[in-house]
Amino acid sequence: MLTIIWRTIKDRKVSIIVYCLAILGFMWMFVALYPSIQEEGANFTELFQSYPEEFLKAFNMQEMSFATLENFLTLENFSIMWPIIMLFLVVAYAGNALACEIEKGTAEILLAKPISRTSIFLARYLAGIFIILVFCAVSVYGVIPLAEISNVEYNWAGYTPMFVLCLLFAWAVFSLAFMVSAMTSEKSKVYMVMGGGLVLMYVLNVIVNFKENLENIKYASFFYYYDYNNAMISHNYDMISIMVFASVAAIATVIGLYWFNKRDIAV
Amino acid sequence: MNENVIEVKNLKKHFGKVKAVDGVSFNVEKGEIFGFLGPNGAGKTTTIRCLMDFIRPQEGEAKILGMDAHKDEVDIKKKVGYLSGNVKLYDHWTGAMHIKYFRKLNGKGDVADKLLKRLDFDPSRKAKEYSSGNRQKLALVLAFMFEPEVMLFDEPTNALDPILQNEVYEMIEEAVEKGATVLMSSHNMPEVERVCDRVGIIRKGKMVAVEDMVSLKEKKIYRVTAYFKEKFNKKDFEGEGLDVLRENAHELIFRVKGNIDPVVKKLGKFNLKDLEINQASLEDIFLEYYVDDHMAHN
Repeated sequence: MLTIIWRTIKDRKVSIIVYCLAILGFMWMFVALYPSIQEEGANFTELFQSYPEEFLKAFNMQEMSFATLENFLTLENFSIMWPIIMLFLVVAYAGNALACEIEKGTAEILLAKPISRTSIFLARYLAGIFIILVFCAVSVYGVIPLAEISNVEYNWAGYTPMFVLCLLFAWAVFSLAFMVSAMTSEKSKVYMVMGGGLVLMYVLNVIVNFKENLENIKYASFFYYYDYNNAMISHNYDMISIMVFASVAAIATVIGLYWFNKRDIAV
Repeated sequence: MNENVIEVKNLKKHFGKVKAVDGVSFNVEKGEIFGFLGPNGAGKTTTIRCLMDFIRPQEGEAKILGMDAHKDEVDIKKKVGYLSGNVKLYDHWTGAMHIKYFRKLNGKGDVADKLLKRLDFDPSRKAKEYSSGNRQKLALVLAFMFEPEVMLFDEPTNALDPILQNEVYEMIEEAVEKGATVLMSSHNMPEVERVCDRVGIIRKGKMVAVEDMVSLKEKKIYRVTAYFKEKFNKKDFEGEGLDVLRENAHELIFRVKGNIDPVVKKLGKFNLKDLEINQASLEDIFLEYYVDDHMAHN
């Protein structure tokens, strides 16, 4: 199994590096911009205060402030940029790891070898977890050296809760994508289901703020549990978010594994 | 009593309404080269994929070396070499990377280097740069490198030129001399004739017949076109197994079922301008010998 994990990571190393550099590039830009934004902070805050309360709530902007680098980063990076890049990374990996191999027929290569389907599934899954781990570490802790280089003050206390939240969010999305990948034989279906599903979750999380009778729907959205302000600014570990993301990841993994073991491959 | 290395009993695999394999049964004995013969879509590949546990049958049993193809898939695959005519490789890997990966996954000694020399194959290039023939060469190396006890080959000589086809036949025969057992599917009659000891004929998901090669050879069909310099008597070409299809003053087209030798001898007595003898396709042989018979049984 280690052979497959190692080989899979080696095959994906270029894309891991590209994704990590992309997020680092964005963060460097935000960190470099922060001092001038901070100077104009009072004006921005005044501007945002004129926005409707529901709007600020819908986009999780109630704690709008440019007082710290972390405030600025949650608003600019972790609110939408980070989830989008993470989504591309994990869904692309999950789609390629199983469904694409079945689609291209290369799944036969491993299936013809003395390795159980469970080992193939878990090897590819663990390689994906490693990739997520690297991406989350780089995309969260990467801020610290960038802030040091740019002489910008930062508060390290929020980075580990943010790393844990990002890791769990990415793990849940990845596990769902991997489950879909184990069920289908076309990577485009994985992209479609996961892309559509996450956009729907995002929209649900926004519209519940405008319709009170739909409030309970928010619990069906990952974005409700992805409370970056609570992690990065308040330095809290939200146990409900941890439980939900971990449960979704575990259940999706078990279903995916069961399905992959039962299904026909290379028909 | 001969030992059965591959046992397939009442195997059924349906994809929706399509009965890809519908109650196929056969055995392959130790040291035998068993040809699995049938037209495209007959169910050959599906049967082999059930044996490889790529797909799961709805009913029936598939065993290799006495082990269940599904439950014991890992143990079985330590002893099986698989080759598909439609070779799948990782395009961005070199040939050497494929070989190294297989070495790590199988974890025992191999003869890959010998095979590379024998097939005159350069493993340093990426798979996407190989021609279809070279891709097949690499697949051959990967299938033979661990000297497997059992070989499951699905149309193994697809995309190979005749010289390389012969090399493959020799490799298969040498493996069998060392004790291997081979199940190979084909829709190529001369290939089956050249290599196999016994043949299972499959059509529309059902095993129509299992024949040894001697019996199958007797079932050949030829289409003969003879151009005579002189007048001939059509009656000379009538008899059991002969069917005149068309005739005119100096030309006779007829069909021969079975042994062609007496017909050639008879033609030798005439002055001929030209002679064409074409072997009928496997499809024609199926239609002639098996389909009616099979329909009658159902």
